[in-house]
Amino acid sequence: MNPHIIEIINAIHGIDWSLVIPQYFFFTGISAAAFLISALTYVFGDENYRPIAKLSLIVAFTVLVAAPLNLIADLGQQGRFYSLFYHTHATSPMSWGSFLLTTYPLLILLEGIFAFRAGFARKAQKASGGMKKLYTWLALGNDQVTAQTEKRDHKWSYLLGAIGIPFAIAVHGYTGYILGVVRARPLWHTPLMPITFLVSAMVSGIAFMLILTWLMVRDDQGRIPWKLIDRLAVLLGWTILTDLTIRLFWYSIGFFYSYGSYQDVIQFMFVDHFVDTVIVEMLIALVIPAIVMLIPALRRIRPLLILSALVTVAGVWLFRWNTVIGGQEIPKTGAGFYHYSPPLWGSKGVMEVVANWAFWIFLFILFTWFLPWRSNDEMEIETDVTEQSAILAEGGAQ
Amino acid sequence: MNSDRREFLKFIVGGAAVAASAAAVIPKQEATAAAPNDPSDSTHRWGMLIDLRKCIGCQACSVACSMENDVPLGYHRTIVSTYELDFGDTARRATLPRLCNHCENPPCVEVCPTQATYKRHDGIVVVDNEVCIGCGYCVQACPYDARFINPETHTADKCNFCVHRTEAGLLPACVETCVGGARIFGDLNDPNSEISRLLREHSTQVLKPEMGTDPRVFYIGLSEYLQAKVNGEPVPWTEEELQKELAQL
Ligand code: SF4
Ligand code: SF4
Repeated sequence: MNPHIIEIINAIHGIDWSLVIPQYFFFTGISAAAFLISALTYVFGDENYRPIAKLSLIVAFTVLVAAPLNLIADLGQQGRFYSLFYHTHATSPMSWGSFLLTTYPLLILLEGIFAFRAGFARKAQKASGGMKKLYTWLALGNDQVTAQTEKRDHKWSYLLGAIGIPFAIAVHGYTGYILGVVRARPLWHTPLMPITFLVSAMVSGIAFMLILTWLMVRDDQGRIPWKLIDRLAVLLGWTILTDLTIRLFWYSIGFFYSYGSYQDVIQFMFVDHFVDTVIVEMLIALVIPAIVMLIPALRRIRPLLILSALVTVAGVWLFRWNTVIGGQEIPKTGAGFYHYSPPLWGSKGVMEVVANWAFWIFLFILFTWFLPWRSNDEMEIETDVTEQSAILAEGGAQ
Repeated sequence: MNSDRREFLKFIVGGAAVAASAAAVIPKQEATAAAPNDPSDSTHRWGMLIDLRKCIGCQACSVACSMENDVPLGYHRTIVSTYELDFGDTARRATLPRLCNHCENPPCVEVCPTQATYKRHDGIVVVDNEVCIGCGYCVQACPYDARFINPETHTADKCNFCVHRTEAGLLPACVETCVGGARIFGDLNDPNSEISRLLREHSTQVLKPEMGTDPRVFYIGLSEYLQAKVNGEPVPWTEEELQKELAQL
């Protein structure tokens, strides 16, 4: 018979990965999703998403610039972070990350050069002096927009976008790997971790772009593009359903049909943390938004739609928190569970995450102010191109 | 003189004079030599056996370790977890000295992004604290709570079998000090070592065998219900309370 055990002496092992890690995972997820949304236009040629294609690229890039700062913040020896590039280790997902986190933003940058070139060329035509020089330089030294340059730009943004897709998936998928390989932590150790992270990243990213579209994108008449938002909402609804399905597989097989340490997770998630995981994270932030997104009558209650998208974004953040912090609240040897609430200030405090958001907002404002991302800028170009191609076609016919 | 120490001295005086002279030639290595500088070879495979029947839970080993290795207050490279076992009609104490298991297949090593942590040829798992970036990945990956981020060096820290002592032919501090003679340290490759003999003669257990880590710290008399995460009432304090207490010291 197993005795009733009372722990008298044991070391307490607190939370080593603080809340900047959920923030990091959250941001890489947004980046991956935003990149894939831009790829819908640049790679798959879906014109419906063109009004937000460039904006998505900007989000994908800026968020990925802000994200790794969280990683550095969480290191014990922050000054040594660069050594990750020459002290490498093939079996460590964290080591792969160093290379993904450098090549992927470079790819976005390159793609951006071609995606924004025409816009800069147009700006260069209108500007004068130093700005003209700058814009011309950014337009790769050519301030003309012709059918030929358009063709080239499209070709390159298509190519780079296509190459970028696996990188976008990897840059977030690897974060799931980081957790998934840790067999010491029953909440993390599942092959489903990369995939559930990816799908929930899509959830947060689509909801995030939906909100940004509502905030920033206007059609020619200056109206909110509800058609596009509805399209995003439906996409979001289905992605949430996929997310929930994967969760169902994970929780049912991973915990309910498992042995030993995995059983602790049931108590932790579904009893002790019932409210934050089941009620808030799953019901309020996934199930209800999915219903709102997929039922047209509900979706048309616009404040409800926007609120649901916001709640979804927050819910995915909570999922990252519950996974990263929650996983560490289940002791490896000690009895019971730990309880963690982060300090407000200082290293590993809440303000680190707030500061990271602030930095991203700053970057985002800077980029959207400077870059010609609005499709309205492009409209004229598009007409130019159609005119030109019409002329070309005529020429060909003659 | 207890037998394992005699054993150890024999080993120094006798066959391993080579190792001793090598230790004299190689400038005294820090516990944390970089992998290419690993001075050990695979002639020896160090391991530990803890005879729980002899452990009295005095924590002399925990104290000796902390003094020997200058472990910061509030952290432990080894600790004797202590439990009250209530069988209904009877009750008894159980003690369980914990330390790094110097796993044959250590998950902490495979996840380290910088290879700062590695397994030496003689099986001792060490951390090069000049390479370690303090990412804490190894702390997460160790199934045994053997590691922590040292708040003074800001790098990963854990038991290294007192490598600076063993290289000089001494026993680890915890073994040296163990009142009950419960900790036996020795060469698993040597069939005549005391640890090899005891492993042959007794049925032994390891912690969390299901993790596939193949620990090199063995126990005699380890109950199944203490092998993995303990299912019971936790210690009645939290980390915050502990930190507060420590801050007042
Ligand atoms: S006990 Fe932990 S720290 Fe020690 S070798 Fe095994 S996994 Fe690594
Ligand atoms: S804390 Fe140091 S030893 Fe541990 S995984 Fe990170 S770099 Fe490696």
